[in-house]
Amino acid sequence: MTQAAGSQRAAFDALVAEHQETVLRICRSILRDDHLGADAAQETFLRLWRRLRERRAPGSHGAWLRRVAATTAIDAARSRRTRSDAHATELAEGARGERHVEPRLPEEDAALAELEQRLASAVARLPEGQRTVFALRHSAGLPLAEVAETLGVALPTVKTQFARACLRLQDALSTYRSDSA
Amino acid sequence: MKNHEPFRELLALRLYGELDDAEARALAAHLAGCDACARFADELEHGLGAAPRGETGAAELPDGWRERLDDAIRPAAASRWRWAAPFAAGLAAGVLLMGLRPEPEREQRASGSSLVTNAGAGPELVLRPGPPPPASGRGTYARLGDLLGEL
Repeated sequence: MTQAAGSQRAAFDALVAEHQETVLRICRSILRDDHLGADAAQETFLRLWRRLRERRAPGSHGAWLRRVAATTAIDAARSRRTRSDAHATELAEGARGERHVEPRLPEEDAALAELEQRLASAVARLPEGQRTVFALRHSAGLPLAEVAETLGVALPTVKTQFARACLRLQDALSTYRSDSA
Repeated sequence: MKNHEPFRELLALRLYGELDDAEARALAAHLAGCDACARFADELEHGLGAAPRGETGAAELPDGWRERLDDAIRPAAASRWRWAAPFAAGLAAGVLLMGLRPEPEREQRASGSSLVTNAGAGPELVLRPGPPPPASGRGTYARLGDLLGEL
C-alpha cells in the first residue's frame, strides 16, 4: 500500500468511526428497516471512499455524509415503493416487525408499543416530504437546522413541513384514542 | 375568527424544542388568551409527545457491518487491474482448451462413436490419449492469439 493510499485509508477509517452511528440512524429512520438501513449506510460510506480515492474529499464531511445518507435512503425507499403498491402497509408492518411486542409485556409497555405502532402506521401515510423530515427529526434525532442542511432545504420550509407532519400525526393518534375509548 | 393553525404548528415545534425566540414570544402571547390552544397543547403533550422518539441513543451496528464495508472497498483498491480480467480469463480458457483439444480422430469419435456400449455394464465414455499434435510451424502464442480472437 502506498503512503497516499495508506493515508486515504486512515482518513476513511476515522470518518467511518466518527459518523457511522449518525449515518446508520438516518438511513434506518427513513427506511424503517434495520437491514435496508445498514445497506444504505454502507452505500453512503462506499461513496465517501470513492471520493477520497478520487481526491475529491467533501468540504464538510459530516454534512456531506448526512446528505448522502438521506438521499441514498430516500432512493432506496422509493425503489421499494415502486416494487410494491402497498408501501404504507409495508412500512407499518416493518415497524411492527422491528418492534415486536411480546405477549406478556406489562400493561404500560404494551400501551406504549401500541402507540408506537399507531404512530408508525400514521407516519407511513404522510406525504414523502413530511415523512422524511419527521423521520430525521423524530427518529434520527437530528435538529431541524441539520435536517434542513441535510436535505438542502431552507429551515423555515423544514419547520413548516415538520409542524404539519406533527399535527397530522397528532390527529391520527387522537382519532385512534377516541375510537378505542 | 382567529386562525389557530399557525399557533398549533408552533406548539408542535415547541414539543421538540425547535422554537426560536420570536416564535416562543408569539406563542406565549397567544396561549395567554386562548383556552382552545392551551387545551390542544395538553393533548399534544399526551399524544405525540408521549411517543418514543426512536433512536436517540447510540445506534447499534449490525454484526459484521464493518467487515462487509471493508470487503466492499477492498476490490476498489485493485481497480486499476480490472481491465486485465477479461484477458486473463481468455488466456486461462485458451490454455485449458489447448490441453483438451481433440485430434481429428477423436473429434470424429465425439461426433458419434465415443460412447461404446459395454455389454451388460451400461455405456462407457472412451477417452484415449492421442499422439502428440503435429508441428504446425506456428508457436503456442500464435495459437493462443487465434483462440483469444475467437473469444
